[in-house]
Amino acid sequence: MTLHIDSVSKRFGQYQALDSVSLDIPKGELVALLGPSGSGKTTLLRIIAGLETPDQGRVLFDGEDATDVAPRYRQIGFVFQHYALFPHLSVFENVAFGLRVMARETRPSEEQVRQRVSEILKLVRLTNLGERFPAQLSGGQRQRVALARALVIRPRVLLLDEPFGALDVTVRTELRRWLRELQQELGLTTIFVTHDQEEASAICDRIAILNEGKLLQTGSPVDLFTAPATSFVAGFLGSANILARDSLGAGAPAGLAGAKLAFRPADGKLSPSAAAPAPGGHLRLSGTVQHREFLGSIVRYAIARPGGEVQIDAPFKAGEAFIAPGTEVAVDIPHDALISLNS
Amino acid sequence: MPQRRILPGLPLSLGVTLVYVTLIIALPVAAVLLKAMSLSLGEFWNIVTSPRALSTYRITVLCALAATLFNAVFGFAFAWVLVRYDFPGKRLLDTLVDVPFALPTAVAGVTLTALFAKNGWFGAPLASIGIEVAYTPLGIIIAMIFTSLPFIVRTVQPVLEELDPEFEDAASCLGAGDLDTMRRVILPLLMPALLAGISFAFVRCLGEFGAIIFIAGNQPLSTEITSLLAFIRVEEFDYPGAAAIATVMLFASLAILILTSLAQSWYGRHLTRS
Ligand SMILES: Nc1ncnc2c1ncn2[C@@H]1O[C@H](COP(=O)(O)OP(=O)(O)OP(=O)(O)O)[C@@H](O)[C@H]1O
Ligand SMILES: [Mg+2]
Repeated sequence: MTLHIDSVSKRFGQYQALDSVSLDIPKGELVALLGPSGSGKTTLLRIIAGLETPDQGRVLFDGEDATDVAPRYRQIGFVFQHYALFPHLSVFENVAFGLRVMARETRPSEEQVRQRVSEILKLVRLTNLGERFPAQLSGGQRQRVALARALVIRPRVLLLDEPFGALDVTVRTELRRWLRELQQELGLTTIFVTHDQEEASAICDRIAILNEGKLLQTGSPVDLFTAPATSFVAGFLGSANILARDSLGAGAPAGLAGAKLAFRPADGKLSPSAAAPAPGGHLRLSGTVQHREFLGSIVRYAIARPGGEVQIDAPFKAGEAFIAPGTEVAVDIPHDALISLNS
Repeated sequence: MPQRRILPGLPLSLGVTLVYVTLIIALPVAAVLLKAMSLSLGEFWNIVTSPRALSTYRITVLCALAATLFNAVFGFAFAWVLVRYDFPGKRLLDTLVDVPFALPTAVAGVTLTALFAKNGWFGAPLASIGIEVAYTPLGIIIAMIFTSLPFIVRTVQPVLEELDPEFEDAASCLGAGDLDTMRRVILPLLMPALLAGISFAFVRCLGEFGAIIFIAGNQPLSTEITSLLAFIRVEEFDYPGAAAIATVMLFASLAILILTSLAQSWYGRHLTRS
């Protein structure tokens, strides 16, 4: 199902939680909604599910206005940030819940319920845990029960609110891969909320970046990484050095119009400041090595310069000496690695 | 090295508690039992199964059941309104719940009698449609409802306040209507608290005296409650007789409390929080 979010706004008292957010999601796409804590991610999901009413704007499913439809009629799979599994029901009954509360005419028989729940439990690889209660499960298992419960109603849209937030890194990586495969297999239109940019880039078709209730930019992970529109997006997706255009004087390349320029730490090349002038097509910055961190495959240098500090990641080669703090260096950045930012 | 105490002042507070429990609870209970034991088993049996005594059990238990059932529904709704809605005067209403706790039961009894007497504010209109309250079992039920309401409200309210609204959100996303959400999610989660409230209220109804005797009419075999019969035996200086009846009440109440606590722990096993 396609999902259109049409300039949705929501205030809580004085606080503007969402400010005219618009987002279109074609059928079967997985969009990662990425933003810092308090940026309105959960609020947006709740509005899509009908648990919250927008002050302005509309939500459309397959082109049909659903803004005034009650949550129970929306057929949306919602996996809550803290799972919200029913603690008094077994795993089986948690998953069966959505079938047991169906209208009498459409409600499956006991036999069908058993069969469908078993199918879903198999899908989320929890076949043998049907009799357990939520309190007797690990975090990753609870997560999968929550997903199974949401899937059993054959949702038209799947909303996942930081589904892996409470899990450790290994489980997260494994689960997100599995989730992506499952999502593609089922062809489910999905929104995946996270504040982990790596997780977002790893599994989604598109990323939507939310900050202070505003949708800043949407695009494929590669697009957002290579062409962020603002310094917030540049800094949020991977690290970036932001340069005010004014601070560069005549050295700034003419082709880039933005008020600010950014480049990735890996794109700057360090050389002793006394060396030859900057090679053609490069922007040269000069400064002093302030700090050095050895991070395995790379060495991260912090370079102090008049316009502010920049970080440079140099590939580490065994046997090569580190540049000592205090050394004067030049940083050369190829023009095509520079990103022009609006703000 | 002196051993470190986990709780400062534990021996003192434990001592005080034990003395308190012994003096205020255990001793009087033991006295009642001892008094009752001065009777032979046959005498005891005759007293506690006399037609008059049996009729008091019946009227007390039936009225208590009716009052508790009413309060289970109404008290639950009351707690629900207090927790889930905001309205002017909410604080006042919240305070009013405790009035039956604070009011001397005799005052409650006199007031209820005045209200429900044939010429009272409530009694007159009710009499005109043929419902008599004062001096009938209905009066007993109303007095019991009045004094036991806070038990249900005050046990359910805090648990309801802690109930995560996300359970309800999850249920409605899964297609559940209000009725299903109430029946399959909210009620089961509140059941331990509701059970406790119901049993406190029921036990309170069984033992209520002051609020009831004014409105009940107190006719032996029809509107006489058990605690009144015990009181009458004391008035007649028949202490063993009073103690025998008191013993029955004591064990009934204890049995209910124990059953409740068993039910709760059985119920609570799966509810251990994640
Ligand atoms: N029911 C509410 N009443 C008042 N304010 C609210 C309510 N729900 C959310 N807010 C506020 O709206 C803002 C956005 O909240 P939201 O839960 O959508 O953030 P989030 O992006 O999901 O954050 P997190 O990553 O921490 O979960 C927050 O400042 C929050 O305090
Ligand atoms: Mg959130």
